[in-house]
Amino acid sequence: MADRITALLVECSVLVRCLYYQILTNLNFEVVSVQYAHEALELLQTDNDFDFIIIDAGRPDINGEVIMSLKDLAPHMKIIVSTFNIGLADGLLAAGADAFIIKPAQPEDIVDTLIELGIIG
Amino acid sequence: MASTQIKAQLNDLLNSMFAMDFLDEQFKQLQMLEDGSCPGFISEVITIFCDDAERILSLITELLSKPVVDFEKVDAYVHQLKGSSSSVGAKRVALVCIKFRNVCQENDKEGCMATLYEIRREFDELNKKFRTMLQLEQQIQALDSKR
Repeated sequence: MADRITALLVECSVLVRCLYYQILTNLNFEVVSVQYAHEALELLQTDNDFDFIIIDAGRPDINGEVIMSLKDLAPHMKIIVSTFNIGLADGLLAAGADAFIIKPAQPEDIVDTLIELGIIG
Repeated sequence: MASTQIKAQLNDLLNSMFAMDFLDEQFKQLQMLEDGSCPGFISEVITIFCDDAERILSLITELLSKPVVDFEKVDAYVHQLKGSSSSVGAKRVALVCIKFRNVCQENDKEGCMATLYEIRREFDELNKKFRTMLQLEQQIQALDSKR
């Protein structure tokens, strides 16, 4: 049986986290969700086996340094920034994030992005 | 059958909420996410949204009651509320949040108070309709499970 695709979800809004969790599990992904960037960084130090991360760009604790730290800890993991404001995504993409999705992202937005990133075929 | 009548009431309620812009297309997307493996998803999302909105509105009210208003904090909370209302499809609440952010960014306390009143009114109306929706769904489930 093929390994399931694993996703790490970083989102402080309970509601958005619930929504994304439902979308991702409906797509049959394994999902681990945390609220804050530091929790994701701590987790990745012991378990970096995630295919992709969706991270909320709207919080002040998410910046270029965090993106670079994520890259260091999990070089193979694709980083998808989730944001209401495209402007916030620019800086994070420049720091190494691989893609962005606009909130509230629909399942097809996420699927299209994962296909573009080569995570699903 | 009672269940059929209640389902009709629920449909009428939802249709009116869409027609009056209480809800938008995003709510329909949420409905599509609910499936057999997670039947209570919509109820959960609505409950989370309403609890979160109440919390945020209380915090904003408190911040605006201070002699010196921290408009940055107010704006941050309004941003959160806009986010969650957009995510659940609460169109009218989300629109007032946009207005609120504009007023906040002008450091206009009176404008913020007036907009807070408006957003509270919109949210309270939506909350009432959501509660009715959840009650009707519970009644339908109870009746259907007796068959």
